[in-house]
Amino acid sequence: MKKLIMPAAVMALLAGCASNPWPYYEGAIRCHMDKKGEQCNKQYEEAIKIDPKLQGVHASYGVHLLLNGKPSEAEKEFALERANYPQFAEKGLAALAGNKIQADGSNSTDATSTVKSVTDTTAKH
Amino acid sequence: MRTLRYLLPIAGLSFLTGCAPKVYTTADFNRLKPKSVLVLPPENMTSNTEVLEKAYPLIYSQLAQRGYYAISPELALQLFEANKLNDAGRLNKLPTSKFHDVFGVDAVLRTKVTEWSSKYIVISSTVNVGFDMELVDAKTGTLLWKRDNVLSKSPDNSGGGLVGALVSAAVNAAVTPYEPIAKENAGIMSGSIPQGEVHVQPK
Repeated sequence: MKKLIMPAAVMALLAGCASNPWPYYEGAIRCHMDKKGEQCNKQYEEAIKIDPKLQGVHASYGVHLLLNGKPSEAEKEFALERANYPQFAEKGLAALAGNKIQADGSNSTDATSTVKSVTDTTAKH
Repeated sequence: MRTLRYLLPIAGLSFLTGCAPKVYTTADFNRLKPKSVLVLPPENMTSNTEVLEKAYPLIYSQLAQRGYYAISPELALQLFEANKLNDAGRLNKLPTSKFHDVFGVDAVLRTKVTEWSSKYIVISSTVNVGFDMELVDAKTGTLLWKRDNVLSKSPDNSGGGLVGALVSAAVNAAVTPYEPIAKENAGIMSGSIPQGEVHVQPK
């Protein structure tokens, strides 16, 4: 009996790990912050594969793709985030779009008035 | 005997109070019931330079797993960078209503990393990770939840006798695995925020 239970317990444990997207998502964010470029894609994709509705992940992957020169793929990810969380994602993504981040990762100077207002407030501090 | 009659209920009450879990949320939390949060990049109060990259994803993930929609860190960082707001200390001082305007969030989580160190004393090493966090209402800046905690862990230095323990402690101090301790601490702390209702993949 023990012979059967032990492998089953190990399998269940492994299955539990494989069904948790968060470690992949955390790794992807860290990878992005370390500016490791396309190396990070796999971790985003793994997290999305496990849970396509994982909050934030499509927005995160979209920003990552945008900064790595893939604007059309990024837009698809943003659309998925909007579809999954319309009530929460819209404003932040709109601010990003208004900020006109260039595909090469540089930023244009014509930020939207909302984002600009943050800068203005900081300048006063 | 009569004194005992008075003392016993008092002792019982103080015992029960001691057992009750500490509440870190304010009355405003239940009134405002936030659903979406902007997790600001943690302000590093330590001398360790890798804190932001290591702690930010963990703090974000632990809060999101409590059932709150947390704004993507990549998105937040990109917008901050685009507006030359690279300093977490500066971000922490901004009026939170600005974050409500830009991101549409209900609340803002501010974090200070107060400890990120390892102490190595002869045959033992201890890793300390400390956070000071507060959740505030984005529109008004009203405090919703506040907690600080330092988690200290000693990696296992046993085995191999005295020499083995010495080597093990030295190695542990040199290659300290901060992330698991930071993750555990962020989990303990955000665990005292009431469970939210946004989709959470089971752990």
